[in-house]
Amino acid sequence: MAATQETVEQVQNLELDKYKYGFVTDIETEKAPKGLSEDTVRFISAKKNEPEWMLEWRLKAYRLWLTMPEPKWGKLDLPEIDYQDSYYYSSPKSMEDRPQSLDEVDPELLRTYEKLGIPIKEQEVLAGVAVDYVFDSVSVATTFRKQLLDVGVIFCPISEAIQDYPELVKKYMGSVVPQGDNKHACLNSAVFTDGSFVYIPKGVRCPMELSTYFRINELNTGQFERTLIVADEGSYVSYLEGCTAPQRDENQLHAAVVELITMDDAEIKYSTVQNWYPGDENGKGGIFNFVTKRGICKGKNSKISWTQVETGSAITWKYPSCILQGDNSVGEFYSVAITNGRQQADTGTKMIHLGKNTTSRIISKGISAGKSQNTYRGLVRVAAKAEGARNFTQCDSLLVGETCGAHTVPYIESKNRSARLEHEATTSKISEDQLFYCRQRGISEEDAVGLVVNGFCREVLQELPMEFAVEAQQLVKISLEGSVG
Amino acid sequence: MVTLASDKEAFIAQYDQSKGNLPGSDIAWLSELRAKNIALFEEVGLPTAKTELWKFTNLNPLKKQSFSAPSAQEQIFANSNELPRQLPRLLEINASHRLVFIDGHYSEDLSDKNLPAGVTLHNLSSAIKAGAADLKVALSSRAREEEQPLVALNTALMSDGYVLEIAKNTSVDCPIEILHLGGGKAEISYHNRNVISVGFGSKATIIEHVTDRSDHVYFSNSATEISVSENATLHHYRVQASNRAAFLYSSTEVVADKGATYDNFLLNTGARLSRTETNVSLNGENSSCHLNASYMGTDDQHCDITTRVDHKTPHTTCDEVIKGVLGGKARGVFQGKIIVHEQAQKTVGNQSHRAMLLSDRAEVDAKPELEIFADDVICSHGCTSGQIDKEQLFYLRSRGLTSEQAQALLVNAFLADAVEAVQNEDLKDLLLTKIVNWLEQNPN
Amino acid sequence: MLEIKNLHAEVDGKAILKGIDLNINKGEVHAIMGPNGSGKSTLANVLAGRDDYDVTDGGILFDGKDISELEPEERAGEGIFLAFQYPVEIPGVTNTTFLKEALNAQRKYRGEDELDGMEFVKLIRRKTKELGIKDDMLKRAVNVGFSGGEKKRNDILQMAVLNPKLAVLDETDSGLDIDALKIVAEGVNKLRAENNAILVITHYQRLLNYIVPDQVHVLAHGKIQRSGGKELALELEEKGYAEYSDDEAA
Repeated sequence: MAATQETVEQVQNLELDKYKYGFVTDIETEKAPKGLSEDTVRFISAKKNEPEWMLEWRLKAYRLWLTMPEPKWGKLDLPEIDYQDSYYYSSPKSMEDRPQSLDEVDPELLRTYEKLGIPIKEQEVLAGVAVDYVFDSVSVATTFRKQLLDVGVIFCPISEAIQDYPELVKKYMGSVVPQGDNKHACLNSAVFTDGSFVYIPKGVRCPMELSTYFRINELNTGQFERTLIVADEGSYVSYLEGCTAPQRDENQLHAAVVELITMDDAEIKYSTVQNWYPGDENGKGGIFNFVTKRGICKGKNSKISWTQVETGSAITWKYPSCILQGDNSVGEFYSVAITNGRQQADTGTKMIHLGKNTTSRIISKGISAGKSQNTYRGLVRVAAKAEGARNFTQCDSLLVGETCGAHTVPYIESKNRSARLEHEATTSKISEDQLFYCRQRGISEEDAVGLVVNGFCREVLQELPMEFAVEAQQLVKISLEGSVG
Repeated sequence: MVTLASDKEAFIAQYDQSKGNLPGSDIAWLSELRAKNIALFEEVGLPTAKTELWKFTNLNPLKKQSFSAPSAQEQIFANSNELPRQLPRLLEINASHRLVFIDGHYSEDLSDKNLPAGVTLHNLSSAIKAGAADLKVALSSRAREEEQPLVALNTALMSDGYVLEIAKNTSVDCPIEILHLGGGKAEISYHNRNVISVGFGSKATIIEHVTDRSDHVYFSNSATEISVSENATLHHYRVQASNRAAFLYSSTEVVADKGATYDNFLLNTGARLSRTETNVSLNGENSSCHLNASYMGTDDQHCDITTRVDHKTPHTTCDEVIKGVLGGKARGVFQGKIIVHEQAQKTVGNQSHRAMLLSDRAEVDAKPELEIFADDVICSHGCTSGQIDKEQLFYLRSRGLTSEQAQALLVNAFLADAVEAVQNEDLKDLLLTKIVNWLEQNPN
Repeated sequence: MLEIKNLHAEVDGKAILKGIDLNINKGEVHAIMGPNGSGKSTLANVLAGRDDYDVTDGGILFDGKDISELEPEERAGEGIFLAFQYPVEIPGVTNTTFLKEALNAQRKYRGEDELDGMEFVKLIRRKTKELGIKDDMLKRAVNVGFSGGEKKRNDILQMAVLNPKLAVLDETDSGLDIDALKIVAEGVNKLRAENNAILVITHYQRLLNYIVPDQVHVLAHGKIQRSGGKELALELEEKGYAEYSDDEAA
């Protein structure tokens, strides 16, 4: 034990954050006046050159937001948020005249993304992936747009979709996550600045992975993106989002909304690798990640699959959910949530079974290290008419530190006797025997922890698109550095 | 006797009216305790579905009823000869020690008083009068009183109950049976408070039988404080078989010392609405508890089983097996929380809740919760909901059983699982019989 | 190669090894036999450097270097391999991944270049072929769902790939039927070479029919009571451990 203790101390003496995305890009920006008011909302709408209906929609949300209470049910120690102490819009100056091609993008931005390992290029490493690059409040570039449009796939910043495809946006925006769903989603509805819009037409299998990379750069600025993906009959798309932010002492707010809609026989596979700055080892700084993600399987035989690897953020509050409306529709939720240092995560899913023979599957792997708190919170609800519904939930927690917490709070509600629901949960300590076995074969203690935890998460990680699975495994390992003991 | 609607104010009015006549009204600490608790109840009110702990159980049907306290006359009735001598009895044998409560009141006449050496029993008012030691502590020891407004109401209004003390190193071989017979009059409510303490190294079995003699609506709000001392074992079994108009709330708070075992089983077939809360605090190393239950519901019955186990020291163990079968429009609720506190290393906690829905309109809601703050633990919970396995049903029918027989056999086997841990063989047989009988009477 | 001098060790404050002396040279196979509770497994764990096994006196020299303060992974890097009595299951981690991580960690420790994917695959194909192990075993998670025999064979495969200087087989025969035992022994024998040594720890003589030792030691009461040639094992088989298994107090 003595040797282990020593390792723990040594590692703890090192700076906890080996957060390699913590740099700041020095770039001239244009911001909205600080604070939140109707004027802020109007400012954003004007900046985006939005039609009147969009402004009205935002204002309605803003007024509703003023009346809503903060959601309190998460197992989170949450400080009071001063909504007036933040900027709600920040854009690189160079984006004023939107660059017409990738060659015109500000070199400083190009360098930033190069450094983040996702160059703004339509070749090399990311040849099979189209990327929308969102920098603070604006999309700065989107690759492969033309190639996608050739097969009818719309992939563009949502601010452009409002201009170019108003009917689609009007029809679907807010249809899955209504403005008043919760306070964070409501705030997003009022002040969202960018995000991605995807429309896959009937019968089209999207020829490449779509991806959005979110970067918060500016100090004291919140990011409020909104993503809307519509998969029409018989179509398929796989979409991935990644997120990073600089290392700062102040907390920053990220309140996103994601809405997914699948028609008959369509499928959306939505993956997230969330690596926002988690704060330092004393809990200073870090992103407050308040995200509302929900999909509706509108059509029969449709499918929505959420995969998330959550390693970042000071506080994560997020429940990607599926409303299984179409008969035979399928919802899946695969999650790895790792908390270390003083991080807090309260995450899980909701599977609402409405249609007949709907199926859902939940695999959640929580890993708590350091002084963190990690909660799985989930709901499986079977409505009276959801004949033949089926759910399987496996929810495992692994403890890698003596002062962390792992909590499991599932709600299981069935109103249909033919529904079959199975929920299993386990919590245990990382096995000393496994660690010793690895070490006896020459693997260092820290690598052994990484290996064992990656094994523990395998069922989830293998759901990620190939291009990102390796990166995610690395991330799992890095996130646990300094936690062995 | 004034009849009041049973919203918050009605209970407060009842308190104001009766406080001078409640047991121990001349004892300062008790009056203060009652006053403090009615104030707490006034502040919190009756639980609503907005309270997380009451998310699945709505007390509106209770609130729509009016209840009064049983009058002094009715208390006398409890001791009269008008009651059938043939009271329901769980265990046939005369060997069981028996206490009888009629509509919430202890009946000396009907109870068997030949308690073995080392066992002391008082009813609440005589215990208060006798100034029983530790009673004050026991009655004011609830850890989370603001979460339990009905217990606060009980403390304010408690009028009877039993105080059972088992001296140290006493092995009570014969079970102590406690009959709570309700239904003597319509629309009465009573608030019984019980205290059980099992001394160092002692062993006892308590069997509580909650039932009634009519279809009257009544509300039994009971609370029990149990302490199981070092190396002691308490088997605490409860059969709740009330009529389908009754409201039952029962809250039991258990503290287990070092090496102590609290073994609990509940068979619930009764009541329009029942909520049975059991909170166990494993305070001493190597203490353990079993919280097992089988529940059955039909028509518009609502059955809520809520448990909470606090592991506070290292090497503590809990096991929970809960099985439920629901027909008609019945609703079953299971909430089970296992909390492993920071210092409680080497905890083992396992919980399983399985429900079977027999009808299209039945509903089950479950919230099994793990809250873990220690790292060296092994905890799990499992939760399922479904209907009878059609393959098994077909298999049995192919072997010649009728559909009804096959269904009864499977449901029976499903429920019997939770009964397995019951230590008393006579009682186990009786519980299994009760399950079979219920299935016959409620074919669904 | 291995020199154990006056080794004292305790587990949870309880003294188990009370002065062990043992020398093993390159190319040799030694067997340690002894009754239950004699400290056999403790010795194996102390050699591998497991936490909670504290050396209180004496020392262990490996190739002339004192290793008693080294971490388990460092000892592995030095060339000590422990075949576990109960190989551990690691869900989700495939044998290939595990072997590659382990081999490269050891190579790195020794200042050798890490093997790239191709080189590693070639090596591992050769080893599985030599040992007659099916490739599909490599894709399975480490020991998960393996039978007792498969787990032991997996340990032998690891040994073949990692190529240690000293292999310590801790009751490798426990829980194996005779066929599995033969296969395991055959694997071990294939790995015998001039440059390495093997320490077989066992309760029963039967394993030594297949892995024939140069020397046999009897361990009891935390000390080596007797040493001899392979015939000593046969003698123990016949007489049992009666003369060694008296209570410590006696």
